[in-house]
Amino acid sequence: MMAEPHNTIGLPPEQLIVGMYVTLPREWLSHEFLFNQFLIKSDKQLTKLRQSGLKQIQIDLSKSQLPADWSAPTANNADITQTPASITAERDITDHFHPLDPKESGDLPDWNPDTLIPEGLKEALSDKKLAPQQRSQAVYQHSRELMTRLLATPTAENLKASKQAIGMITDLILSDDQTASNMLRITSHDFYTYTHSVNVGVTSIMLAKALFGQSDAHDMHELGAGFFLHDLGKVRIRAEVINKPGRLTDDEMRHMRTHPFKGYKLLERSNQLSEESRIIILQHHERDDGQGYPKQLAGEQIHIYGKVCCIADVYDALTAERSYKKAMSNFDALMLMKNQMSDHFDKKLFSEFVNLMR
Amino acid sequence: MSQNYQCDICDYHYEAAVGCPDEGVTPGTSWQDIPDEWVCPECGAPKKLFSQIANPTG
Repeated sequence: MMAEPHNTIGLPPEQLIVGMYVTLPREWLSHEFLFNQFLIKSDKQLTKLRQSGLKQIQIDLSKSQLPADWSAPTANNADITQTPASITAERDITDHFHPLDPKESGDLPDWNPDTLIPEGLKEALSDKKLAPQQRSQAVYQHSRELMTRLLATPTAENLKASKQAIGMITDLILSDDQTASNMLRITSHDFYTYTHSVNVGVTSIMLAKALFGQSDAHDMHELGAGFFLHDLGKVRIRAEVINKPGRLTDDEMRHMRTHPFKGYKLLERSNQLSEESRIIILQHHERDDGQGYPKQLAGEQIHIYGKVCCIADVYDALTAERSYKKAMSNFDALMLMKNQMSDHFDKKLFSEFVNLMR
Repeated sequence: MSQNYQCDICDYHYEAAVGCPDEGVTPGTSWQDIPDEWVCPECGAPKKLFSQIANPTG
C-alpha cells in the first residue's frame, strides 16, 4: 500500500526509474533534453539523467506512470550521499574507489569505434561559434559520456578510438584558456569513475600545460590519453569491491591496489599508448616519500607524468563527495594537501599546482 | 591457514596444490619451499610482495 504521496518529490538520479515524470532546472544549460519536463520512457534517458551531474531531480508523481508496487524511498535511503563524516587526510582516500557505475550495465549497448564518440562531443569541439561557457559545459558532459562508454567496453579498438577524441579535448584545453578554466570550475563532484577520469584528465592536462608550456619534448596527445585513462585498471577490479560503500578489508584493499598494474597491462596487451604514457597508469599512486604503490617508488624514480597525475588524483578525491564524506572546498583540499600530505608530492610540481588552482 | 598467496602488484594467485609448473615449481610445493629468487610469473614481483590471503580475488 502506498501512502497518499505529495505531488512532487526530489530524488537522486540513481533512484529514477522509467515512468517518472521529471522536471529539470531551467538553468541547466548543458542538458541534452529538448524539454525541461518529460516522462522517462527509456533506459537511455535514465543514463543521460544519471550523467547530468544533478544531485536531485524533481518528480511530479501525479503525472508519473509508476508500477503499483513502487513507493517513495524513505528519507533514509533517499539520499545516500549525506552521511556526515569527519574529513581527514586519511592515507587511503584515493584508494577508496569510485564506483564504475552503480546501475545495471546489462541494458547498455556494446560500444564500438563507430558509436563510441558522442556526437555532441564532436559538435562541441568543432563548433567555432560556441561561447566558452557553453563549449566547456558541452565538452565536459560529453567527455563523461565518452568515459562511461569506454569503461563499459574497454576493447583495444575502443581505446584507440577514444584516444583520438581525447586528443581533440587535449587540444582544446591547450589552445583555449578560457574554456579550459571553465571546465575546471564546473567539474562535478560525484563519485563515479567516469566523472573522476574526466576531472583528473582535465586537471592533469592543465598542470602539464603549465609545466611544459610549448615544449615539443612532450606528446600532449599521448599524455592526455594517459591522464584520462589513469584508472582504466578499475575495470578489472571486482564489482563488489569497487562498489562497496564502507571501508575495505585488508584483502579487498590489496585487490584494489592492483588496479594500476592491471590498467597498465591492459594497455600494453592491447598495444595502446606509448610506454611513457602507460607509466601514468602504473605510477599514479606512487608517492614522493616511497609510501605509495604498487612499487613503492620514491622521488626521482617516479616519472614526472606519474607525479602530475598523482596530484590531480588526490585533489579530485578530496573535492569529490563520497558515501562516507562530503566534498571539500578547493581551498580546503589544497590546504590539506599542503599541510598534511606534502610528503606525497613533488614539491615543485605541487607549488605549480597551487598556482594553477587558486 | 590456507596455502593461498596472491601478488600485491598484479593479483597472480599461487596455490600450493597447483604450483607453478611453467616456472619449475611442482604442484604440492608449499610457499615456504619456493626459492627466494622466484618471482611472480605475471609481473616479476619478488616473493616478498605476495600476501597470504583467505580467499583469492580477481
